[in-house]
Amino acid sequence: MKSKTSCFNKTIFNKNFTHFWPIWLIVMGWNLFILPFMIYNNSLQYKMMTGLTEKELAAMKETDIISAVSVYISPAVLFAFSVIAAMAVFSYLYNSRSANTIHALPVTRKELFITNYLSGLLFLLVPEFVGFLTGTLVSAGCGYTSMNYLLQGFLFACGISFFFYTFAVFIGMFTGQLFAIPVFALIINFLYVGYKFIFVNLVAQISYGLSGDYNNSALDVLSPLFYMSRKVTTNIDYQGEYPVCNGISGANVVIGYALCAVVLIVFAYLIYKSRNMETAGNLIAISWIGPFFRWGVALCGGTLFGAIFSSIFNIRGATQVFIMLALSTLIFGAVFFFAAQMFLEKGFRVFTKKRMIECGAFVAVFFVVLIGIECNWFGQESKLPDTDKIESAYINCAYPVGGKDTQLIEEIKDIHKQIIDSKKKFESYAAANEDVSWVNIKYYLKDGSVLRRTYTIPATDDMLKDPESAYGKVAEMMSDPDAYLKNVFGFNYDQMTIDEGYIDGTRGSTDEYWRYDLSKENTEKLYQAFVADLKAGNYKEYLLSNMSTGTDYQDITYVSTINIDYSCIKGIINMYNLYSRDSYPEPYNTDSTACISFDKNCKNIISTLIELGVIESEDDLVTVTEQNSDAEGTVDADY
Amino acid sequence: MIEVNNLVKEFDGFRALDGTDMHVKKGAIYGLVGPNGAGKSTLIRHLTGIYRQNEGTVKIAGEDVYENPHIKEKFAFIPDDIFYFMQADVMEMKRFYQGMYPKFDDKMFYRLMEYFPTINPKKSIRSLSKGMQKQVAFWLAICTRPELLILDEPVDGLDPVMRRQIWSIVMADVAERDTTVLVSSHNLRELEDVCDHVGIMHKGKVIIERSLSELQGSVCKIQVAFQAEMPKLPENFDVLHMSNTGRVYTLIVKGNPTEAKEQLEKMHPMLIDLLPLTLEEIFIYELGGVDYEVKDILF
Repeated sequence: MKSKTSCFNKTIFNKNFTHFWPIWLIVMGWNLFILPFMIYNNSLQYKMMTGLTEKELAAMKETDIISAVSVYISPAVLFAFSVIAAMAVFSYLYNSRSANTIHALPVTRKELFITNYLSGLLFLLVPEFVGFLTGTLVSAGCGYTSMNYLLQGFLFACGISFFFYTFAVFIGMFTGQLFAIPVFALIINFLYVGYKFIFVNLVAQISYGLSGDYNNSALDVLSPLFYMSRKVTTNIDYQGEYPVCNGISGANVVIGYALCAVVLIVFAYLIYKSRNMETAGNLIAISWIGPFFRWGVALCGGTLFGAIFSSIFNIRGATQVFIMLALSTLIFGAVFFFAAQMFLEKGFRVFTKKRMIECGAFVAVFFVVLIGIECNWFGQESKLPDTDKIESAYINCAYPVGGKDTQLIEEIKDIHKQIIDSKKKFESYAAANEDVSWVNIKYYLKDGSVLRRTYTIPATDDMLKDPESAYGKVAEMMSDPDAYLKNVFGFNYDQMTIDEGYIDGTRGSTDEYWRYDLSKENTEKLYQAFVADLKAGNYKEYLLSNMSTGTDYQDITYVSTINIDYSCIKGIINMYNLYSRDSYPEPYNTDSTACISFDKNCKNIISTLIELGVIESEDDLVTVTEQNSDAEGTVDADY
Repeated sequence: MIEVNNLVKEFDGFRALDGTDMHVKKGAIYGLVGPNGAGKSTLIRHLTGIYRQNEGTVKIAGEDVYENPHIKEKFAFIPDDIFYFMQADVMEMKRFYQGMYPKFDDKMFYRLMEYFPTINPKKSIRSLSKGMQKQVAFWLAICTRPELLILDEPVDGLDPVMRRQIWSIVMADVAERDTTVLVSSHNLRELEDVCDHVGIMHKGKVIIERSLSELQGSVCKIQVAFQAEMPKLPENFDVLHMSNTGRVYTLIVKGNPTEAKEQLEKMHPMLIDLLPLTLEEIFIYELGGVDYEVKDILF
């Protein structure tokens, strides 16, 4: 006899277990394949390996385990399984026949929810546990010692599955259509980052200086699958003699999401309790979600398709771009508004007076927001961070210059402010002229956020000569010897050791490649000549050629390049990595090769090359223009 | 047994039940009739605790039904559109019902097996015909030993032999255990044979709720012929309908049939005969004045 206060129904649990066995069997198969089978399979290779030290063998085995665990805890796979499990156990809610039959049974919604919820969760956790257990046994049998990663992996998998499954159940409570669950779950998992990406691109089209680049932020946590895929990782460092495993990172992320899942369970249950069974078959089962759905779809559709549509046309001029963007965005917004309503009403008769007024309100609000962006009401164009909040700042025209130095930060801010103040002048110039230069400014703030701006500034000879112009100031920074040396050899170039090097190139029409190897001593001489040319200002013309789109210095730049091998025990801090922060993590490489171009102005380099016997005279060096014209002559002669 | 008071249910602004009242006594066989869209199924879904009402009360055995498993154990519901789990056979559904209904009678299940010889209990129910699926539903429902059977269009899709058999099983249960039966149908002919009480639904309301004998005793059909023309009928003579073939008149009269006959006899007719009225005819004439889709009830 069942108790009246029962929360769990054995009969329903058994029904789930017997009816959805293919699901847990697939999850079980996957877990058995990933852990025990893969570990066993990998262990077979060691029988054929000889000459490995114990330490190397242990490191390789540890790598095997952590590689298997990385697949075992893959958020994308666990998300897919979780969604399927949630769909299965709550599938009765999405068909009026099954919903009516089940809810006419002598069982409360609380009992139904808890029983079905637990059934689905166990579909995931039990196979994961079996995978972990058999994986541990197989690992022990194959002589693996680092089983702690398996336990860690199991806990991670449980946490991730718990979150994604609860999330899918929560989503499922809002819809009345079974196959809307995976669609909504996927969309909501990427909604924040996806919309941010689209919105940033839209804003970049109409805002002065804003770039369409996506910057990670703390709010990315609102896109769980995206966030987890980045944060929950297994770390294997292949540098050195043998691989080093640094464990599984992202425990705090998984714990955070698991705690969120607890809250989601409560909300999912409350929604289930209040859910009307007559909504089975509706796209949205909870009526108050309808307006959010309509406006959300209209907003996302309008922004995405409006931004794409307006960018198809190569319109120049800020006002024209805004008009085109606003028109396309609002039209697409209205289209998506009614499309969403059609999905809600399962019909095409949606053009009622009420909806027309609502759509008008949406369009008006959206238009005001666009006007606000265009008119800088939100201050996004004039935003300059306070110096005390900046960790480091960089300006990139030909190459990135910057760092944590306060004076440098102030200089970059000064240029930035000047560019902001010259908005109208620069925008109208860029719309009508070709001789412009792209300037990227990036601030890494102490709170972890990044402020990035991209401008097109006029790059005329007059401005170059004017030290007070924005272009003149940027050019001055770009031609600073110290800044260029940091760019070529790394931020800590003063700690480097020069090894050997070589110079190579091609010889005019013959297209003959030549190479001259340099000893360490000669390489150092050439490096000193390079530094001397930099300090003498001989590189200025070459560096400026990289800054402007309207200038061409190929007629003085040589084809030949100087290649210098160098090393730094503490690791080479690449300037571009400091600027972008999206490349190699620490520790940095300890050795590298710098490739240095030079031109006719580099007198010190040329005289050193003659002194070292690399060339007999300056005439032996070929410029890019000479090589190109020779090549064209050869082609002409051939035909 | 069932008490529904002022029940209101709205679907997106549409009022499907508009202050419905319904009362079913214990042991009654109550026929709920009405045209399509009258609200019969919606009312039944409230009685079975599937839907939650906007207003009003739905009580079975004196207790609210919604979210009340104690009450839900007491009734069995056979919907028009029956649901079975995918791949489930009769035995599996039996185990499920056995787990859900504490009073499930295992012996009865096997005893009733002989009444359904065409059903293979090991075959997936979904692969059976609609009629067979309905038979399975009755089989399982009876075995739960319900105090109340709620049937929505129960014998649709069954052949006449099986209809008779199903009803005989239900009637036997009623006779043996005083089971209350609520049966919804738009087929009056079917209900006439089995119901002792009838409720008529129209536009979300139960407009008439009476016992069948009460209904049949309140309207009668009289055939009468006079030498000359039809004399003027008395003031209190409530004729719902009158037609004639030559001198023979057919009157549908509201009121006590015997009293009506006596009054007509006082006019010295050549011929007078009191004829029985079918449930169909009662509804046609009783509801003739209401904006009511009689055809939907009858055909």
